[in-house]
Amino acid sequence: MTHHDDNLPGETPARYGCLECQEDAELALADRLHPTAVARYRAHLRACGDCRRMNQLLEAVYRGPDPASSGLGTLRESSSDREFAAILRRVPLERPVPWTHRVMHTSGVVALATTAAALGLALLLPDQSPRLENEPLGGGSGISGISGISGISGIMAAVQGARQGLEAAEAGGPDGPDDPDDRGIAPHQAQVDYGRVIAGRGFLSTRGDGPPVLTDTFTVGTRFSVEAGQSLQVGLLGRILANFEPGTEIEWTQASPRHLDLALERGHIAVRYERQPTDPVLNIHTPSALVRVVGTVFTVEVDEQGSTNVSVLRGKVEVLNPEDQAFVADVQAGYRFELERLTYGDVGRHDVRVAMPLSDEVPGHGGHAERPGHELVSLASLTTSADGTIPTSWVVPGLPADLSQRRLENILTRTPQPEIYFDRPSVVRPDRRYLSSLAAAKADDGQGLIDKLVRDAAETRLEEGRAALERCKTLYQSAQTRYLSARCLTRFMEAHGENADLVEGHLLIGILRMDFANDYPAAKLAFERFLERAPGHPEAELARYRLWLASIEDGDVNGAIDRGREYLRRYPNGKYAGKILQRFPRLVSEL
Amino acid sequence: MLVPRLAKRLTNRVDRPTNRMVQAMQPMQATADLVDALTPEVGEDAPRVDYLTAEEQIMLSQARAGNARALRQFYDTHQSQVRGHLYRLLGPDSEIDDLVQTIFARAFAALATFKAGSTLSTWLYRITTNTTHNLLRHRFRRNRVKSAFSWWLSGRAGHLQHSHADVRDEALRLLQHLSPDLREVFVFYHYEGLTLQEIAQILDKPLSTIGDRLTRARKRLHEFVTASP
Repeated sequence: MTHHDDNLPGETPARYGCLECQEDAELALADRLHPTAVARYRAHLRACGDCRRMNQLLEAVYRGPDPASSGLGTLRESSSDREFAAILRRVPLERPVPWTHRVMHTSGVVALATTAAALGLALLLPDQSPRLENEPLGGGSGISGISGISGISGIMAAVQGARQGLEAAEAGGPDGPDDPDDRGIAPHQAQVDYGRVIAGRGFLSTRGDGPPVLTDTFTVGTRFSVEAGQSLQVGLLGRILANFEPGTEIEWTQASPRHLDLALERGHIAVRYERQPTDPVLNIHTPSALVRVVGTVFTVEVDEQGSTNVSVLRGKVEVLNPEDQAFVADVQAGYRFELERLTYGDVGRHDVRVAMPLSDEVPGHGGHAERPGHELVSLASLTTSADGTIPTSWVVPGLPADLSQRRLENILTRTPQPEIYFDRPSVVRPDRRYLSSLAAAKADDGQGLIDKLVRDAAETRLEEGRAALERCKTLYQSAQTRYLSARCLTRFMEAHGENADLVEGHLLIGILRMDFANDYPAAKLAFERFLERAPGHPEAELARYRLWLASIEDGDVNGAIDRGREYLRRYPNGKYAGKILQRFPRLVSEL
Repeated sequence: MLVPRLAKRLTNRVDRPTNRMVQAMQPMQATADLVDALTPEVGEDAPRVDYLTAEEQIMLSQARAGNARALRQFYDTHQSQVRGHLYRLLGPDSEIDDLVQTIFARAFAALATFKAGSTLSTWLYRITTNTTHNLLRHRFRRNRVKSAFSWWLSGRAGHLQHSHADVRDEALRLLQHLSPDLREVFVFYHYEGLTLQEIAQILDKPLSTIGDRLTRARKRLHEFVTASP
């Protein structure tokens, strides 16, 4: 670059050439140069072509490329659908590989390399082969089995084991890589084999026309019949919450760590399944379809004509042919699929109403809040949306995102359905006796008046608390409004949680968190608080039993055994002792 | 005047220029040092901030549940941001469409692990950076060899010899000669309008490193421009 000198005689600074211009370039572009210097800078640009080009170039560098100037920087409207579909197809490939899979993969590679080395050694040293073949070194397979191979046959077995390890790593476990957070363990048999009635009424009998089930705990092979005007909510595996509508006939046909099968003959059921990666897949058999579920909220209906209708509120459900398990359709959230006509429609009010008893979700984590320690669980965290609000994770077409508008009555309905009536909260008014005693107290002066007021305030607060607890209990006792009582109890605990006379609220809120939200850490905390504050309460036995049950449902089998032992020690003849022994016969010695 | 964004940035931030620019920026240096001293480093405990609006939280919860409509809304909202950033980073490149698909596929697959510790756009920038960084490094090494060979053939600064090219194209070409680390910071700061704090969060580097990279990027570009024929 040629350097120019534009200085005139008598000007300061004495010299303004290309070097000075280059140093001023960024400041001039940023409009931070002194006006005098700007004038010199401009004058130099007018005189010097190289600096003018440098200025244009620098300006272009700081301005940056414009995406709109090229077809590559923007997307045509018509291409967005295609691109979005391509993205959805690629999502399974981009899922992060869990560390367990990486470890298994590395183990497989190491095992293959080691066995290849051993094989090469055996071939190179033929005189050692017979000795290797005749000296078994132990047992095992895969990476641990390297120490247990014996000669060529052992090597081949180890190669096979290593290959299986690789295949298992790539398959992502028994059910494939369903979830990047695949860190769970398979459910315990004590969880898989038993279900329990959470609320409602129905007739339960063992397989076929066997004897009726008289307790709230049932096993595989139980058949459920729900009469008109009743409904039934049951829990399975600690993660499945099902609501059976009036007129439903359904049977629990199979349970294993990999599959859990229900056979729906007629009626309408809603299911919420917060499935973990190692949990079994839920299959619902109807006369005309097989509905396969890997974790979602949905309803299945077998109508009067025997046709199957599937409505999905969250997640996705596959509908298969029950005979050859051929794929028929997948139903996305917000859609209702009618198998008879093979048509899709929007989820309706009736479907949502059936699923509303399952609406007490813990948001964001598939029904299980992350709770590093019990100390972190506060009353505020127990607040849920179980106040008649439709959860935001449910897709209901036509329903606004505004929480206050997400109500049943705002859903368009195809046919008129019976409405749910909510209890209007009653207003506690002071009675005349209280007013007259207050007037009498006013006549007094000083400390007596203050004591009277404090005493009255405490009594009034206690009465208010009892009235609030009664309101919550009333909500809890009705099958239709039971799920609404969680919010009522949460508010009650916020207002009266520290009152020792109203400690029963902890027990009730624990039961609700356990039964309707499957939020076992919160439930256990509530039971522990109840027992800590009222160890001699008449309901303490129930609280200890529930604590044991919540531990089982949560998959904490060791904790459940400890709590079962504690219960049996305190109540050897307790009414729940049989249920505990049913699941853990090893605890008989405790008696 | 000419580039308002540059003016705004230079007014607020620290630079390490030479000669006369240092004198002009001395008062701001002290202010910027004070701001940096008061700004917590990445990784320090900071008060909890709600980065997501209520609408975004609803969309996110639905998208996590696999709701196709929410995923589509997420894509529609952010695809222009991702595509534009890729264009500014890579220039007109035929692989941009493929990269956009990869980035959104990774984002959808990782929605469950998003802890709302940043805004959605910051999180997407981080995924974009992780996706493109290796590509940038590979291309930078390849171009460096090509430039050296061209220089050896022509006997002069081959990588800067674009006298007939349009100014805008040449500016883009100069940007491609920045090393990937410097280019990312420069693009984020000057083209995307992010703050140093946000860039530090995206790149997971200390604030001082980001400031240093930005300074070096400016100096390198200045050298390229003044050396250009």
